[in-house]
Amino acid sequence: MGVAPARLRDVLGSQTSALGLVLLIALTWTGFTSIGGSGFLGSFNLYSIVQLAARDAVLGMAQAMLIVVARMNLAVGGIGAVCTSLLGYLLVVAGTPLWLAVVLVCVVGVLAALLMGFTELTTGLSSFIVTLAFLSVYGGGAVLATGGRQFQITSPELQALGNGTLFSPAICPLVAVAVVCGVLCWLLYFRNSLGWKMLAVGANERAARASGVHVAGVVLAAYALSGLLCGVATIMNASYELNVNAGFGADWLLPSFIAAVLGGVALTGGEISVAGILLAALFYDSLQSGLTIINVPSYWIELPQGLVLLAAVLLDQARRRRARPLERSRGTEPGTAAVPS
Amino acid sequence: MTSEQAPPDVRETTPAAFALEDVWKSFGGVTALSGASLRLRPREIHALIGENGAGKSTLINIATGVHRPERGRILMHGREVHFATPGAAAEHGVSVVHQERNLVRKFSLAENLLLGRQPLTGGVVSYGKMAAEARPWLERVGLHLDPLAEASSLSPGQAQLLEIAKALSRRCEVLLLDEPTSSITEAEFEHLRVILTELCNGGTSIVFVSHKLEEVYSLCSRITVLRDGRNILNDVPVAAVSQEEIVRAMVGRHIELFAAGGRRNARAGAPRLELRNVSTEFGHRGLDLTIRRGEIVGLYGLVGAGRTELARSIIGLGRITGGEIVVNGKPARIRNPYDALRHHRIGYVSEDRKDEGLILRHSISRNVGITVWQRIERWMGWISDQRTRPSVEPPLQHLNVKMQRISQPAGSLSGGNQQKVSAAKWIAAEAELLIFDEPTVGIDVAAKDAMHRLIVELVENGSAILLISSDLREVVQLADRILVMGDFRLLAEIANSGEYAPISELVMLTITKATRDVEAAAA
Repeated sequence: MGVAPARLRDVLGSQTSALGLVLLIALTWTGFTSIGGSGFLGSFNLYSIVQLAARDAVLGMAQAMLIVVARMNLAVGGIGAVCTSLLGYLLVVAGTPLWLAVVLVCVVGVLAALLMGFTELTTGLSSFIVTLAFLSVYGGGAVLATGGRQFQITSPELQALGNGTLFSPAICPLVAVAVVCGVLCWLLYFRNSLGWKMLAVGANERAARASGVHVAGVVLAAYALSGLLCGVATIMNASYELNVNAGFGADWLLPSFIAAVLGGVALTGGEISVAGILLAALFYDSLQSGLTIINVPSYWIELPQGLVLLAAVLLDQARRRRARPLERSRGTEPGTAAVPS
Repeated sequence: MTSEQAPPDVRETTPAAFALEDVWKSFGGVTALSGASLRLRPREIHALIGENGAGKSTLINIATGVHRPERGRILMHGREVHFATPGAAAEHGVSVVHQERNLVRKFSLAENLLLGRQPLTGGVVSYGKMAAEARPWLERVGLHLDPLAEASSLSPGQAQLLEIAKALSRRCEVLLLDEPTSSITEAEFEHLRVILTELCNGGTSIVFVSHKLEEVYSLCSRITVLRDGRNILNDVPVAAVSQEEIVRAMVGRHIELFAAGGRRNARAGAPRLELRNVSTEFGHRGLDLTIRRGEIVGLYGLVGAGRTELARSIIGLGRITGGEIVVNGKPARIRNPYDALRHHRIGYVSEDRKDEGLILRHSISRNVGITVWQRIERWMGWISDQRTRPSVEPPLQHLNVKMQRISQPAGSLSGGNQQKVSAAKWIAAEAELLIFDEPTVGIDVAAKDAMHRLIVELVENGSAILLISSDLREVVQLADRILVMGDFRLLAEIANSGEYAPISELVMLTITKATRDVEAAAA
């Protein structure tokens, strides 16, 4: 039973979301061009879309690292705040060379995430609770430590990364960073035993453990990679904002979830779509930008953001329901009351 | 239909209590039933037999209104009926008890029994009324327990009885039991047999689905065997067919039932695993046990005796709190299955195939390969499905797993083939000690036979096997020695002669004596 549909699902399951997203992006672009005029597709606007989308894609990957192992990282923004403060301090106050600052920021991102991983494994609490708590700890801690001060980054290399151009005036070099991260992610999940184990742990942790997978090690690795990508996103973010403070990261959670979930990363764990994450980020920032161009007041923009996340979650659920006929259907009988004789 | 050509029977003249005639059904191009029939006389217990995938479940789902047939009729007392929903079937008095139990463990027996129709007093559930209402139904199936006790306190056999009581309380006239005995002991089956016979005499007609032919002989009067969605044996008296004929009807070829028990004692080698005075977090105390290379040690006991818990403690899914585990003569500390696999080559085929044995959503290839990735990966963990093939394909071919592609999800396989995949990963891992926990529950005769052959082949190649099973026949059939466990202690070690009657008697005596001792000590 269900063998032919299974084959179809194998092929489409991972691709439908990507194809659908391409369509969605095309629709958004033509829609906003017809309403808001050609300014939407102008190189200035496209540039700012891909600049943001590149960072959001990396945030989506940071989120996906933990969603894949059936966990979540609500503290992406908290780690971002810590990393941003550190980067600002190192470059502006301590005068650290750029390469060293970048390495240190990534290391601190990894450590901050690992601390959450250890907390989860030792306390047995859910990642939801642990990362929610650390979101406040990290976010608040960063503000306290820096006293809310602004850091004006002047590094020309960083500036070239975030505000320069690549090949065309419409493409920000950050796109290359996102694509490299995407390729590495793909290699991890499709050509690396660690990635395979992460998928196995996410799909069925009990089965993975009983099959000799070192679950704790795999979960910690997932946390570490999520933290590393938060560090990368921090550098990307700082490279175009330049004037940074500990408040950075406060708005990272929503795009990270939208990119991951809309991109086709199953909320139940055990599935990944790297292309989907990249495309979902592009769609999300196109929508944002389009709404701004057609003069939707900024406080109204949060509404469609929330709706997009809701739609993404519903889509995820629909995918799951379609995959269910795998298991044999069982009937339940609703009761008809009877009095014992 | 063969029943029309059959010689007239005295009872043929009275209409069947319940009949499915010439039923056809397909799912997305795959034919599940092609002209299957089932004829149930009033007050009979009718065996419905067939391999996994033969169409039994589909037939039951049609009988209970879950699926609708493409062709064919459903008759009750000679009149055609249509079940649009499971509710409609229940209203006509047709109920089903599934193999997977649908009890809410935290609820009381009464709440489970009357789920969704609890008696209310002024809008509030009245526990007294509920208990009073539930008690007669519970007693009818021999559950003389407090109706307000929690369902989690029931043994698997008792849970089965509660499900039956639930069906009866819905005024059911036709009761379909889908593998009710797959996880209960022989003693519990005996009890179930008495209850079902009583129900049947009281006017209920019963369809009994089971893979255990001994049960069919002791319980059922007539039998229907399905294969590939067709009737191979159609409504014949059980007494008129031999076990071999039934098996041949099921699998379509002759299968020599296979016995190896108690034959290779002499060839057992050096100790592979020794437990010395081991206690565990589950409550085992002072366990001593040795498993040698080239031997099958059977571990038998009632459900709840602590067998699975012992297996889990050995491979590191439970904590060892005292004593010593020795692997190949060296003291070992196994903190998790990773240690067990990496350092000691110990594997565990879980009893919980769907939740622990397999990752149903992932491909067969990933499910089998999971134990070997670490061994075959290159620098920095580089791996590909292509690279895992040489490790993954031979065990699958060897076990003759019926599949379309190695990349299809494990969940799309039949139960027997899933169990083969769950075992195949440990063959790929070249495990030297393998613990099989209920390896043949809920799988058909051919797959069961394949598992048995595999187990014997593994020990003949020098592995050591710990076989946990509630099927005493299986244990006698395969094991060299039989350990009997009761209440988290090892009660006895019995050298297996391979003869079922004397060995089973000895095992049962051991268990009843231990139970009596415990009761005497308590009194």
